[in-house]
Amino acid sequence: MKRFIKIFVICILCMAACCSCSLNTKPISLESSMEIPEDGIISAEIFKKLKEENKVITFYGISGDMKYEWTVFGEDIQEPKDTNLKVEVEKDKENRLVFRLCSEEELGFMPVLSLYSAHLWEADSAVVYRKGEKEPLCSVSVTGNKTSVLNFSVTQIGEFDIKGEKTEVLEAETTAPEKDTQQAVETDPYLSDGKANDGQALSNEKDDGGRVLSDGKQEGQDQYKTDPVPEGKPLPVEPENQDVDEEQTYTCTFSIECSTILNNLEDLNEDKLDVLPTDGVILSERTVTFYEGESVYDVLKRICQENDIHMESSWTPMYNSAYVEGIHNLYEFDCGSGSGWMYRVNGWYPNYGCSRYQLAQGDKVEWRYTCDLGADIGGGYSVGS
Amino acid sequence: MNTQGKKNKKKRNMVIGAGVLVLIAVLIFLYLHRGGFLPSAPAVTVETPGKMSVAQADPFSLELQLSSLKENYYPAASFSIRFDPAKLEFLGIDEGNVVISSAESSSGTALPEWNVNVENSNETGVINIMYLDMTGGKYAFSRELLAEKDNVLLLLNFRLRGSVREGDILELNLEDAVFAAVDETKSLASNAGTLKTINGRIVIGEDK
Repeated sequence: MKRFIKIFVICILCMAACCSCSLNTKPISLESSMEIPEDGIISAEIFKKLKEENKVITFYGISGDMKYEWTVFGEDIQEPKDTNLKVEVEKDKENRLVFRLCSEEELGFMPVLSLYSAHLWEADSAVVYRKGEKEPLCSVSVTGNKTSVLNFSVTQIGEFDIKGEKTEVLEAETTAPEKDTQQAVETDPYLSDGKANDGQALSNEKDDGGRVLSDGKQEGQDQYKTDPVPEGKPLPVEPENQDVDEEQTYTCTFSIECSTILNNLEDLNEDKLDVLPTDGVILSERTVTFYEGESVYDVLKRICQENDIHMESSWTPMYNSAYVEGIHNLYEFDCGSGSGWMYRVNGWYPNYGCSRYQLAQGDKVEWRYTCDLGADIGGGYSVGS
Repeated sequence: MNTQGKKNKKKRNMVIGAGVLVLIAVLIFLYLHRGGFLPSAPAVTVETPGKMSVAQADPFSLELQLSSLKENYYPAASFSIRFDPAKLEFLGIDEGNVVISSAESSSGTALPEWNVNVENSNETGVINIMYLDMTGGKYAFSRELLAEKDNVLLLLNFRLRGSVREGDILELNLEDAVFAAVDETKSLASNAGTLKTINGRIVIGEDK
């Protein structure tokens, strides 16, 4: 009896020792996503392994009804140490998102903090403020369709709040901001959405293919018979000076329509009735890719080829531009003596040819058929395409 | 005889008792060593790569990973990944290593043929990826076909656009993930909370 009890006790002790050894010597395994423990502390061993293996890990936790997630890059970690990644998130009286990083010392690396909102945020972007301060600390990217994810890089610890910003759609006809300089202002056309820069001047020495906005002071026509370009609108870039870089891609929206013909069917060449789309839309608005340095004409040509849309143009040396004669077999003068194709970018009908209009990120390009020299589509004073 | 019988009975009970206790200890050991008996909850993850720079001109691939599946056959799967087409160009997909059953293949397995419209994805900013077995179950995903290290459903190929700037954080928002079973009540879906989704994000750091 005693012998069996002894054997049993020895057996249990051996097992317990094995378990203990196994737990102590068990190597730390890095999962791509790890839950933050109750006390928030992630051990130095994990950060050390993260650094050694140069991995990327997300650590997630819940505060109230909001999930938060840290994205930590092994390459950023200098000195691995126990780090508190707990975050407390709540909404204040003004319904602003307030969060507190519970760590008492600087993190020593620059992670990304993501806050998951269970509802869609009514904001396109947001900024982080340190609690009680008025100067914004950093910007927040807001993404998502049904729910929102707010991302920002964390550079400091403490208490912060987030204020959402709704971006107003820039109307094309909006008056250009006043500038007290008589110099033309160079902008980087490839900053996102064509709205970055906010008209702030960059150094004129910077030659990055940036297009130049008119200061409205030009007098008389240029060598290609172009009247002065309105203030704030891009000056033409000659095709021979356009340096296309296929390594750099951007997007713009593009559409082609001829709905004005539907209101002027009595003037339409009868032979063209068969090609006229019933709704007037030849190419519905879509986002297309273009390369740095490309013009409206370059993209039109490519889009028509890709979508099997007929397009005919001729080179006009006097205007140093291609002239679009017909799209989808609808030509100039097919619907009256004042009919033809015009293009509009961000709501403005440029007064120069489409080969000279250099595209920028986020531009909205519309090709529209006019039956009345542009008067029926809001472009009566422009020189055609 | 009676006393001897009682002793034997006692011994037998003790041996059985000791055996049960040893078995319990072994199970506890395995539990602690392997981190649990139950497989982790099914999850689909978009890989987050290391920090990139604005100078990164070459295309790159991110894995769409599957952690596990529940015991069943899933002849259809679909995922939607929302991205910013003004900053990222989606170039298409490549095969992963998660297989489906296939009666025609000598190995009994084959790689699924995923469907995706690249042009439409770049227009809308949503990559809709789908696999559908038209035979009604012959070519299905199942847990038994998931090898331990094979967890890549497919590779998503991207290229940074020129509009990307240092400090940008580009979220790859995984929405509406579904592994559909023939009996739809057994399907795994992110909207129903039976399939976890983990977003990926591309962080643009300093030029190196």
